Amino acid sequence: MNADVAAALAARWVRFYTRGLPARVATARRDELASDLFEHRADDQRQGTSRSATGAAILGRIVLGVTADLGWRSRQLAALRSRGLTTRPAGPSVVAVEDHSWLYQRLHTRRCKGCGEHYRRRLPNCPVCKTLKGSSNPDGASIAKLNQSSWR
Amino acid sequence: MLLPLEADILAAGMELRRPGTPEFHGFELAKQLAAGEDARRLTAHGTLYKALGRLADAGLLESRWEDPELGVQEGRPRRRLYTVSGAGQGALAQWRAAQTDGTAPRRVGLEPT
Repeated sequence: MNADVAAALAARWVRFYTRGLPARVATARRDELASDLFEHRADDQRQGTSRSATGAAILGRIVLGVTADLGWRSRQLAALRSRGLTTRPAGPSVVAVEDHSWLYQRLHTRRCKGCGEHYRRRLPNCPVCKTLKGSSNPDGASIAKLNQSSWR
Repeated sequence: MLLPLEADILAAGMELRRPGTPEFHGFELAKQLAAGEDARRLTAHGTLYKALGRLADAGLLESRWEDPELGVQEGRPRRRLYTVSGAGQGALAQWRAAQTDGTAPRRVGLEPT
């Protein structure tokens, strides 16, 4: 892997794990990584290191730091929650997940194709607009059948 | 009590001090850490910047962003510059003393994250 590709991957990764965080925090982290990547490549170039060796070194630094990056993100989110800046679902009927915890959202919720709200995966339909999961339009007949089911 | 990596960072930061230039940036620190006796790889991004953040939050490092204009003039991104604070120097001295006494618990195994 050459240095350009590895640096682009690193930049992409830092954008990914900083998304949803306060702009000041995310920007500081991204800028610091951008500086590190630039200095790393410039230094290797001065020393005559091959681009592929630089790329491998950068890739190694990304991969070996993934756990620490995610731990850092968790602490940032915890700090936000402690200041009451995000909300967490309180029960199975919660509709909107206005949470910066993208991982929670990806694992436990689905996005309604009707109204766009996120709701718990185990629910059969969107609590807001009643759209059945997998469907893009509310289906009255299906809703009537649903109301008779044990899912209520 | 400092973690081994944190003590290494403070020590490397002290070594990087030059007359008139007590500050260092992240990559410079990573290089200094890798230049140690056991010739390590450069510290992973996540590990390094997480540790720097922890040390800064604890007041053992001071940090500032350099003037963006300087970066523009030199054709590079702006750097975040760190200095080992007085408290950091004290913490490092305490840690070293504890290591010498053999009273400090030693961490072995995986590098702390």
